[in-house]
Amino acid sequence: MDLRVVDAPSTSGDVRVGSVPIITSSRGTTSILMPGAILIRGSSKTAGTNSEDKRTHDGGVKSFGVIYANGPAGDAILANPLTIFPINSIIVREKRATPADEQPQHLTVMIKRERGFNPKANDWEFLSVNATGTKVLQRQKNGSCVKCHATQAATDFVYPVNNFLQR
Amino acid sequence: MNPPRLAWLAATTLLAIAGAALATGKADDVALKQIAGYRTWTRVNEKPVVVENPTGAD
Repeated sequence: MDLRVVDAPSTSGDVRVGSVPIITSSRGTTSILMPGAILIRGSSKTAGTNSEDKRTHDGGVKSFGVIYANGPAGDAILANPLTIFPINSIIVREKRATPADEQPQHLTVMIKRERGFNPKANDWEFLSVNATGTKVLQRQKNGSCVKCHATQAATDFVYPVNNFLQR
Repeated sequence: MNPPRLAWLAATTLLAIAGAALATGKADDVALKQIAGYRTWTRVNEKPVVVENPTGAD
């Protein structure tokens, strides 16, 4: 397991994910632990005995993502080495409640806009769209989306998945 | 402020708000068209990515 950045261990021996998300891959499954998640020492699993763990697991904040890339984004992902995603790259992540779900709860979308659109986020725009793709729920140039994705500046604000972008 | 001027200001403000709403709606429509059919695109991960996010920000 590749623990990259964690804060000091808690009194229980567990560790809390620090300011940078932890990304691990095992047997084709990628896990992204966002800041604040708690890891049980010696395990790749998170679980809960305290209220915050309970919130993580019962509160619907553990989710499963299936990711799609359009032509330009797909080409960039396959490029080696990745430099930067071209304009009009689009990445769609389906947020699913369980791995077996076929239908998403909603979609999160990254669209690479023209140069200068959003310099703080390499010109990405972040959108939240309803499950059927018929209504934009939220658009962001800043805020929580950018805050987390900024930790992945080395891969143009895109989280690496499996072997993609992890070269 | 005299009534005609007040009415003019109110009308201008309403037009500006309506214009902004229309522009946002149009931008949303463009974005939705851009992602239509996304399931035919390249699927990046075979197995779903597990995301643990205590803030529930996404």
